Amino acid sequence: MHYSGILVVTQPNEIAGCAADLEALPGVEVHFCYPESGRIILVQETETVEGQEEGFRRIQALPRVRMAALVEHRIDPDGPPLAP
Amino acid sequence: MTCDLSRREFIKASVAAAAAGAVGLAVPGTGLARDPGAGWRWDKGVCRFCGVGCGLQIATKGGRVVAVKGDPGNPVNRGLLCVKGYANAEIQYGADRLTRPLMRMKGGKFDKSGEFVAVSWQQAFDEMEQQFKRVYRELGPTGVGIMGSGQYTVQEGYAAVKLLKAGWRSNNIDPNARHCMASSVAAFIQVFGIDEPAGNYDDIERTDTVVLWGANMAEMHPMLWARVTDKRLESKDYRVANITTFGNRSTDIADFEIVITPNSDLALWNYIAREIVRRGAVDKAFVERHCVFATGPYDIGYGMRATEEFAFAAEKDTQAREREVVLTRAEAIAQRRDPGTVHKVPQANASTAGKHWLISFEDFKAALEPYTLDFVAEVCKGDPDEPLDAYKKKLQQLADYYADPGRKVVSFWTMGFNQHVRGTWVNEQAYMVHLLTGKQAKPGNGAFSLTGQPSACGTAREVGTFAHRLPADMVVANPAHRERSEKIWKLPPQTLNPKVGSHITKMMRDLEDGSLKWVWIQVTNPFQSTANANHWIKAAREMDNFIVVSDVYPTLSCKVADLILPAAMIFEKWGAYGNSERRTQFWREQVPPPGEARSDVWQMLEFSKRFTLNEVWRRHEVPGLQAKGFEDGHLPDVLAQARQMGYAPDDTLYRVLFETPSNRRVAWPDPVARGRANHTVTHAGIKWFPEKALFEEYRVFGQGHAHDLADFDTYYRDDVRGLKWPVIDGKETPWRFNEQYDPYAKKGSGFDFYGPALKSVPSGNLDGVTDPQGKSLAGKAKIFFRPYAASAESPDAEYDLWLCTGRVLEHWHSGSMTRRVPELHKAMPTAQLFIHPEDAKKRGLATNDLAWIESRRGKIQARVETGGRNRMPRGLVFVPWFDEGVFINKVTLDATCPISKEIDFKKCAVKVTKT
Repeated sequence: MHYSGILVVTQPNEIAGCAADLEALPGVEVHFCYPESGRIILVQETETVEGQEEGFRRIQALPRVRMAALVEHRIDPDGPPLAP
Repeated sequence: MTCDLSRREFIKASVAAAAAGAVGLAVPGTGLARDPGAGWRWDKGVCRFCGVGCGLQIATKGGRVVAVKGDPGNPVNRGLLCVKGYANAEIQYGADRLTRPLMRMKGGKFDKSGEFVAVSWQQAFDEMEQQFKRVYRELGPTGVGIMGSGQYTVQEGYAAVKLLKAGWRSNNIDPNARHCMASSVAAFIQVFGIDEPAGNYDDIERTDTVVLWGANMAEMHPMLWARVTDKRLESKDYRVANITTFGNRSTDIADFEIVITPNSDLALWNYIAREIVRRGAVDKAFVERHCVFATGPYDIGYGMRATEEFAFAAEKDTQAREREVVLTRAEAIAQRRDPGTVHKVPQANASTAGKHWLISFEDFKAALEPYTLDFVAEVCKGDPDEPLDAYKKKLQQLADYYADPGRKVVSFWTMGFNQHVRGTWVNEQAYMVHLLTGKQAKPGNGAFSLTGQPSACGTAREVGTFAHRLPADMVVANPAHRERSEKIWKLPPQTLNPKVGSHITKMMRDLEDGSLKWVWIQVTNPFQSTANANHWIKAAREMDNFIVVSDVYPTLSCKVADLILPAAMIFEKWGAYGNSERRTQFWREQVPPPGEARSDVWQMLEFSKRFTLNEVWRRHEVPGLQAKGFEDGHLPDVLAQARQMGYAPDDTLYRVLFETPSNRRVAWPDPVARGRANHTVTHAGIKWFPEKALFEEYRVFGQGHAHDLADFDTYYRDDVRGLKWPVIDGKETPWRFNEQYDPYAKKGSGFDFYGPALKSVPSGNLDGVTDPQGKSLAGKAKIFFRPYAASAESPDAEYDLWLCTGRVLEHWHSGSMTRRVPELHKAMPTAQLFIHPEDAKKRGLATNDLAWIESRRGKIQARVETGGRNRMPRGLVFVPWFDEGVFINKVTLDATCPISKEIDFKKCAVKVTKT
């Protein structure tokens, strides 16, 4: 399994909507929101590293996302595949 | 399942907390008693890809990289990475990784027409040696060469320069970095007398205006762009302008975008300078104290071959412009000539393009006079559908930014400027405007050239892996520089060859005309990345030559080669890179290379054992060599002096250049390794530490010469994330030439442009030299006037579109590494032809159709894209160049800036048709 911690920057007044957009993406969980600075920390979980990049691009393409950056990428070769 | 779920939840919570913590955000609650990554071994490193130089933390377990994160302690990227961050962990594990030497064989022996067969290192080196010595006997030092890279580690580049220049006495070494930033180097030397930027990345936060010139920073330098974005969002007065030949992602947060026609940046800078002068916005005190005015010849050609002998029939008309140019109307106006007359101008200064002389401020002002708003708007407007009045307003706004004494400005550029037939000129023009306004070498103010490759600065430029260079900005043509290098390297006098070698494009031309017959290609893919590629591939395969490629994956250059050597990748070896802000960063070997892959340092050390001094330090013919103290056309035998220095004729280059008595004292194992391995040491069976010894020897060149580096161990300290040179008394230099920050700037000077090169210059006027006596310009920078000039080739009735090529975020350079990471490959599986919808429609094309792109030099197919990330104006198309399957360099033109010899990949004429 592949996990990445991603920082998203949005306009502070759009943070709730942006977090909802992100939560709607497959494998994405929003963990922390910082309304005063428009920052969001999310975790993306995918079975493959291919999925990570594809997901990263989906995140970047969201209209309310001003900037997305990868903070950490972990590979957990012992982890089970995602349930169907 | 519960256990799996809880494990998964635990990892996610841990990753989230780590990510928040890494970027300085408070983590609500705790509960993270155990990190699931505990037991992994973390260490600092640097990203493998672009010139930004983002810091990483890498985790390894069981001989594999298992996690990568942005290094929160690194001031470059502050814990963040772009999408290529994913590739640092995955890049090593592609299925087609090269793990054994491969040689073309038939009937059990080497045959140029044979198929690749796996051989031992012994067999590989045997053939490589035999072929080298055959060519060396026939052609001498000019018959052999190395094509290197801005992806060399510092130590690899240094070993290559020493082996080639001191050992083989050739100067034919040149990096792919020639194609990346040679124009910026040439301008640094011409303007400041010393290479590399004055400022640093903190200028992004310190300024209030960012102007991009030919730099799609959002895609090419995303982590710097993240810093610009951050600042733009938090500061109301922060302004961003994007000057480009087509709309791109960097415009998304820009205040405005100025779409210009190819090459018209030359006119736009002169308009800005004219406005600064006209409005009285010149910082007179700064200019009078720290600057002089200069210009040079306009008739400098386009860096193409001076002969048509090797040109395809269709190329001959473009080729002829190397000898004579008929000025366009705009060029005539820009050069203060009568636009109603036909001006046929022989290109008399093609081989003396860099010469220049001082002029007065009045001459400078007169030269700018034609660059009125009306004229420049007409020359520059790149989108035929944009209203002229609106366009003019944007040009005025841009001039306002530069002219406003209360506004700080940073100009960033990359390939749009550097890959330019007048690349040196347009770099010089950026300094022209920043120097005129005193907005240079100050926090938040400066013209700042960014590089594309991770060590284009640290290795290619600072080590000097160029045909004309030696370490620390020295050059082979300068006798004092050769003497100093010979002393440091403990070589007999006159060992080093004073004749400048072939730049990388010329090496390709040399292969074609048979004057170069043995080439070792390291850490680069030049047969894909050099323009007008049909010529070079044919030359490589059909001429009598031997081509060796050291690489990690089977690139196009590997396919063209005769011998392929499997190399180690970044975290499989010890190394260091230097980024665009003069920051040198080091890493330790983290994991072993696969199979028989070995570091480039190991390869060079081992191969050097096959040469004795009496083979290389004897008398050689060097056609065209002319230098004081040398017999014309010859390098002297230096064996007698070598004997006096204690060398024996049968000493190997390995003993003389690498395993020297002082290097042997740099012992392995070393505490700095903290128990990590060094496969170079293990496989060489040695007890010294080559990467440390080579670095310590190299840094002697820069000490006391404004290129001071810290000692090897300092860079490995836990509290160090690279250091910006010059490093004096352990302190880095944030802004050069500024007395407040740079110990090399004289006390009381305020600013001291102390670079020593080209600081004795004749005087004259706009027409030429009037007083050949050189004037000393110690401490001063030159403000150049350079005119607008058209490109080497422009669209015409048959080839009716401009072609621009470049990179996309997902791929770097030729894609030889990033294309192995499946997720990156999937993002942009096949290169596209970006074209305006109307241009497509006129040709019966729609998105996803296959189209032919054809120039005078070749044709290829690509998929049409009329929307997407790039917004093309009518008349201009863009094709990324990473894709071997869409080999756009068969189409591009190998014209270069005549001063820097960097190819202009951004401009040639093509036609597009339906397949």
